[in-house]
Amino acid sequence: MTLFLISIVAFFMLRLMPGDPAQVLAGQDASQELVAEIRTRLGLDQPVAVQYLKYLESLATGDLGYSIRSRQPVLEEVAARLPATLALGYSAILIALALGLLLGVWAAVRVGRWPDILVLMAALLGVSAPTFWIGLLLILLFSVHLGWLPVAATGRWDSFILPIATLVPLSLAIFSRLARSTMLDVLSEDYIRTAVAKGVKERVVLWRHALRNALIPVVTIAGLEFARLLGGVIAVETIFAWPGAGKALVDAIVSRDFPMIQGLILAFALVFALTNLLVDILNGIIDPRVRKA
Amino acid sequence: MKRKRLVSTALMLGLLTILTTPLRAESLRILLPSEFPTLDPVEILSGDQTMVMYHIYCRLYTFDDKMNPVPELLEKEDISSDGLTWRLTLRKGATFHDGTPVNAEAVKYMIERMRAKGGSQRVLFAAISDIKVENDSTVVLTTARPFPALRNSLAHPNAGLLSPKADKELGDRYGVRPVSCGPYKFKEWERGSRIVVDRNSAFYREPGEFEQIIFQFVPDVATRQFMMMRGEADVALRLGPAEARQVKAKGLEIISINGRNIFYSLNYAKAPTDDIRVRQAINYAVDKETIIERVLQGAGTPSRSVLEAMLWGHVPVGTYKYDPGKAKALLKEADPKSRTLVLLSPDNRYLLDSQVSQAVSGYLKEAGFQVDLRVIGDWAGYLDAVKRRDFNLYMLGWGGSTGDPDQVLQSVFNSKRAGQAWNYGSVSKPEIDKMMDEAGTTFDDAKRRAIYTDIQRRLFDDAPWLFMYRGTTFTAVNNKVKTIHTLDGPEFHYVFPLPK
Amino acid sequence: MPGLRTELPLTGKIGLGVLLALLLAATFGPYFTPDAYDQNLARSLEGPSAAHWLGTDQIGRDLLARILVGARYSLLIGIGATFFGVVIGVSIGAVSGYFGGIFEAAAMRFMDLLMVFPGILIALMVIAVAGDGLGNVIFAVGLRAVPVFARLAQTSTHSIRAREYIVAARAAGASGIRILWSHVLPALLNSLVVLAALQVATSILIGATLSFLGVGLSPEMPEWGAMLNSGRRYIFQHWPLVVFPGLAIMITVLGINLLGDGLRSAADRRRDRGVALA
Repeated sequence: MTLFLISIVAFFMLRLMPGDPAQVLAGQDASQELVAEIRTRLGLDQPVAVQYLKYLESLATGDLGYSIRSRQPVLEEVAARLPATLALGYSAILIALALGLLLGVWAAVRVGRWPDILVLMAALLGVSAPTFWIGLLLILLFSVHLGWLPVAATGRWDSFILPIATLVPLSLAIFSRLARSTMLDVLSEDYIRTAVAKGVKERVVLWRHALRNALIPVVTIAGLEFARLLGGVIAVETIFAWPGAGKALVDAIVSRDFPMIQGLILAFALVFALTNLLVDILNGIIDPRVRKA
Repeated sequence: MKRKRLVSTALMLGLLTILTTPLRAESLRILLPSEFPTLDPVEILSGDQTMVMYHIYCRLYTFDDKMNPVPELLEKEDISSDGLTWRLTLRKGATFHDGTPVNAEAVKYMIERMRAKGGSQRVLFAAISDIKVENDSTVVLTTARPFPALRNSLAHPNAGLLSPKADKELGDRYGVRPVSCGPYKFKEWERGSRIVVDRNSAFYREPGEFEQIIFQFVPDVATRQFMMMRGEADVALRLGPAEARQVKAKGLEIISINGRNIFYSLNYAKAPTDDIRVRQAINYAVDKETIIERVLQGAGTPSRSVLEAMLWGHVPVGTYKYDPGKAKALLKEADPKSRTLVLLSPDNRYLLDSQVSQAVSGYLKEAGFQVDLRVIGDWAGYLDAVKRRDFNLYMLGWGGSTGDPDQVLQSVFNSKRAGQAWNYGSVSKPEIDKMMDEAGTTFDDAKRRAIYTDIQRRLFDDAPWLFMYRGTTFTAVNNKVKTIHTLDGPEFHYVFPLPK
Repeated sequence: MPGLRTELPLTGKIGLGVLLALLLAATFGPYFTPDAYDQNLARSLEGPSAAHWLGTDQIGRDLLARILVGARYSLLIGIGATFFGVVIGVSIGAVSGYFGGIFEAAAMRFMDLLMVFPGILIALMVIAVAGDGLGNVIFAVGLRAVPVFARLAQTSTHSIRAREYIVAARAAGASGIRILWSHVLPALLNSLVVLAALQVATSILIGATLSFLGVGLSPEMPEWGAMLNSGRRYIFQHWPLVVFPGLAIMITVLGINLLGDGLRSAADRRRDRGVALA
């Protein structure tokens, strides 16, 4: 459903452009014949509804058209860039999840004391500092001054460190705050108190019973959070010369390469949809109640 | 729970290794500032693209280090006494990377393809009226008028030979899977990331030194510098002066290249730059010397003509020395209705280009103009904006990639091309047209030189450009590189020897 | 809001203070510094000095002056975009929540769709279609905020639609628009203010990201993101260019976030008290 709506948006985006889409696709100094040929080939001389059905048909067969810039199939261009973006995005969200839970639990157990305040402060800073600036500061510190880490994608593992470190604070703030508050709720529940009263070790209570419950809301928002994080990836890819879809999107927008923009937006939408599906499945595994319902 | 964590850890490690490819010992890693859409010789848009193409393609002629055309695949050249017929004989035994022979038919194919596809450089072969394949290794080219620069045209990277068989088979895909006859053959192109070429062991002369060359796209200059200093790359192109100094301090070699002639083309078809006094005022208003010293940090020399020293026939005509008083007086005298100038600037294309444009904009404002500065980062997007011709000034750099002035002058100032590449400023001067045609069709060097000198003087006075500077760029090289040729002007780079 | 001074927690007061200081600095600061556009190539890339408190940029412009003028741009984008989001979002949400039916379902479905995308992606798409310029940037950033407010307005309108006083007003012959304006909107106001404050912060961040990516505004403009974009090239040579503009963004956004959080807890406290009284 979402994908269907997005396909409509992507479809109309090109038609919202000022000027003739065929001219846009053909480029500024294309001959009139070429423009006419493109118009016929794309069926732009037909009614909008027919055009849209045709567009859906070509989508279904994986035909996203040709990039204006590279003259290569958009599908290939997108497929070449998506893995780098996903590798970055998924690594960052997983690390943020793990770290966020850890910090949240820690803060909840020491509520009101310095770990708690520290986590709250860090969370606030995390949502207030622009991602790209954190990236620049990390480069300044670890690459320029200390000379420890590479500043760009070299293909080696160590080139992942700085981009991920840049992205993690973005989601860490939300995850740790949420984990903290649900953990506080859970810890005051009767069954936890009973378990503690029964003499079950605090650590066991914490990690086996409470965490499982605190996990649910965190994982639930992880899908939405992933979308936000991918927004951060766009800037991060530009800073770290990461050969991914985010940088390709910025390039495509600057050069007004509409088929490419369309294809990349659809790809992002597909990734969001699949990630949300994955989150639903994960939630089912963690929380048996969801599965039954 | 524990198993789940294991799975997620494994997943993460898997993701971490997706992009990891081990480096091969005999490979060379070269950092290029920009990616380009294609490796098709019909469309050459940048020096970075040219560098990759130099390694994949072979041509009839090539340039020596002084930009003079010298034979490459050519064995014998025979020009008729009227200068109209060129009988060119190819070396025997050369093959394309797909095994098909490099023959006279392939030369014909290349020229005809260039014309059919209508690339922006078709001016290179505009003079050729007939192409005849005499036998397998001999092609006869006839020109409508004497065309002394044909050698330069055929040495130009746009004249790269390509396998007709591969081109027909690949169709639209040819540009991303080129098949030619150079010392390295195309292996793969990871879009947005890098191009890999392998040694062509069947090269007609001494095969390349490296088993593999990796051209990696790294747009950020600080990143190129950094990777070079950490030994993550062997060659890095287009460093700025500050970066070059730091790399040199690390003991790496820095090659300075007298690069392109950088200028802003002024629009004759849009007020107020249609007025010669306004164009001159613009030239007086900008302090080129200070821009070179402070913004470029010394990496350039003021430009003194529409032609620069890398081109044959260049004469240093002069400079418009910074004179804000004169600029204001000229502007007052011209008193144009609108004092708004639309200034287009690329970003990261030429050394510190957008920074220079900001400085220029500041000077123009001081002189009493309003400036609408538009910086467009993507080169293709920038050219699109230029093609709309809604500008008063746009920045461009000419390298003079044929070494002969004919190509540059004809494509920038010929009134027939007014409003098209590269005369987007719509310069239209019939007397200059006539002089260019005359100079371009004579083999008499003294006469050509005299005409070109006259052209340069006249153009300087008419101020078709805001004359800026000839930029210096820096290429960093480590000791793994034994042979490297860097050509002034167009900034060609390649890492294999010239033909003897 | 009455009683704000007493109900706002300390952090909220700090946020308010930061914001007021920023407004003062943005309004009057530029009168005390050199002109933000005045270049002096002879003094480019200088460190902090008495004449230039934060030093100069790559073409010798005063960094502090540019940051102060930049505050105007950032606040303009942040507040302008949020205003746009409030007006359009609340209209869509309130109208669809009030009238319900297929229109409500369709509108909300579309709003959900916009919510799925990261804000920067939507803003980039809008700029791609609409082109560069300050107005377009505000519109692009604001569009992203529309669904946030539409959702809020729709849920509250939907829930109070059936309340007695609304039904009574309708029976008395009041028009839909009138009811929305005089009954529904006031009920929304508290949560709207809190949400709007937080959205101003997000909008500033997204606006800065856009110009950092070189999209939307001219690099000459002293917008913080644009300054970081041009300054990035000098990261090896002159660190103030990549540190100070970012610091300005962070302080601004932090201040607004603190204020927003404070407003939220003040509103919560008031509501709790209201519940206790009832």
